[in-house]
Amino acid sequence: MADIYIINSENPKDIALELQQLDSKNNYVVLNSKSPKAILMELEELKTNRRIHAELKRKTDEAEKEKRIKPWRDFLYQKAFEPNKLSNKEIENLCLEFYEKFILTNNRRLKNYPKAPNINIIEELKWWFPNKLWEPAPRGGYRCLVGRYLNKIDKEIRTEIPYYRPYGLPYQDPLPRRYGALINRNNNFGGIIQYGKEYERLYYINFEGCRLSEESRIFWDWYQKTFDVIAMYYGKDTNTCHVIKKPDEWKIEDNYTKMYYRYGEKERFFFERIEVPKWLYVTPAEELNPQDYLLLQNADVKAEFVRKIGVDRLVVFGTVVDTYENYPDNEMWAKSEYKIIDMHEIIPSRRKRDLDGIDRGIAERFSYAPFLYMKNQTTGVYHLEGIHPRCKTLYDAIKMRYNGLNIKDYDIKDIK
Amino acid sequence: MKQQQDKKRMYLHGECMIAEIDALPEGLKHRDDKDSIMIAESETVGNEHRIKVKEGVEFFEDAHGILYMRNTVPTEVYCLHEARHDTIELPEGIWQIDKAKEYDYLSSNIIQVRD
Repeated sequence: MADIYIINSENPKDIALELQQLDSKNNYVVLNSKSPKAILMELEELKTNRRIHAELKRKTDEAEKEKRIKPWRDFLYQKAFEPNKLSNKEIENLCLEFYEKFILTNNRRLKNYPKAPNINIIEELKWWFPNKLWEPAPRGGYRCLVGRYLNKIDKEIRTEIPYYRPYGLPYQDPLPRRYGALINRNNNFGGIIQYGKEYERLYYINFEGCRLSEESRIFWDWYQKTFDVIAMYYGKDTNTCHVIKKPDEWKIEDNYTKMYYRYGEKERFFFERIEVPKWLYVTPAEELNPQDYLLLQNADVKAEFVRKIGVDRLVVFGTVVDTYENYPDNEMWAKSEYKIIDMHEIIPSRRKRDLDGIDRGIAERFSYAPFLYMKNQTTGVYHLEGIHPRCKTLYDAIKMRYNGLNIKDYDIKDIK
Repeated sequence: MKQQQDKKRMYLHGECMIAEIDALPEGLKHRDDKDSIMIAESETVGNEHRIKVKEGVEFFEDAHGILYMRNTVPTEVYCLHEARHDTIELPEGIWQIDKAKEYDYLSSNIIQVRD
């Protein structure tokens, strides 16, 4: 339907009435002013007012929606990170309750799952447990059964709430994007960490008050109890429920760059996906000692150390011995920004052994301790890796790094 | 130019080195991995460096665990976590696949780079 404005100095109302009768699909509006310029201005003002009204309505609706969904969002985030409050016995009972209420009561299901499950409680947040990335998520098992109940609930919600549309609510995920793969959501049949769209059911039932049938209500009451654990999986081959317990303390902080969790006395610290020692996590960057670099064994953790302390602060203790700039024809070395930096200033003394190999308690400082400084071209992160003190040039360093291959015999085609 | 043409090819993917060789050594064991073969594993984040296995791509292993590849079609070396290292296409050839070493000043030993 379109709005059609009649601007006419002679009997506009009669014209409007006549046209409206002939054409009921459109709306004929009479403007009162006679001067064309005034009429056009009035027309423009009318359109502007309509735009303003529409914009106001949109903002009011958004504010109203936000007011309605805020308690739901707050609940999800609070529930995900609250400390664990279930004992191991209560977690076992949760799994057995599922078996008793939804398998034992059904003869057909009982044939497929004749025995109560074993329970395995996990006190660790592992990336992509229980599958590694390249293995397909197992199908069937308890996840299938839970899926049936949830589909039934979806149908009941749709009957009760006509405006219910899957994905209609804004997507929610208590785990920010970088940690999205921390918990495998492909095959969990319970727990607070789900795919974002699964939380929509929770909103319509718990916050909009949607009513469920008795059978669905019994299931939903059990399902809500699983929000006190992180995730639950079922392994059909071993008839085992694997449950990831909530940590006693869990936080993601510093603009999602750091994660810490604790089960009892066991604490773990992460810079995004890389597990780091506690001292690296808690020590402010300006208080880190460059010598502590040597305490680290793992290349990723070393890179995080370099990232935190700042490569400039580490390299400032060194002296450049050779650099990619000395080899202008070597494009690949330039891309990786290879340099040899002598870091003997921060390398601690080593214990000197005599000719019989016996430590006589004499410390000897390194006079030359070269490191290969390079850039990961994909991530932009700089690495420092030790190279043998006999290496004086980049050719020596790269030969040592790659098991004695004479680099001059090779044309490096790509480095990533 | 001739000197450049005489040079063998090498590709570096993180701590992995893929270097062209003239011929496969003797005494190798054939590897029957499907889809892809792991050439290096991360200790911390579940990442792996892998090479795609397809028809025309064969893998072998020596007694020390060093991998060799013979491919008559191009294949790819990639990371499971693509954000770690970009994928490199490997052309046809015969290759030795090994991992980088570093010098540990605390133990005064050359050790394998751990990722």
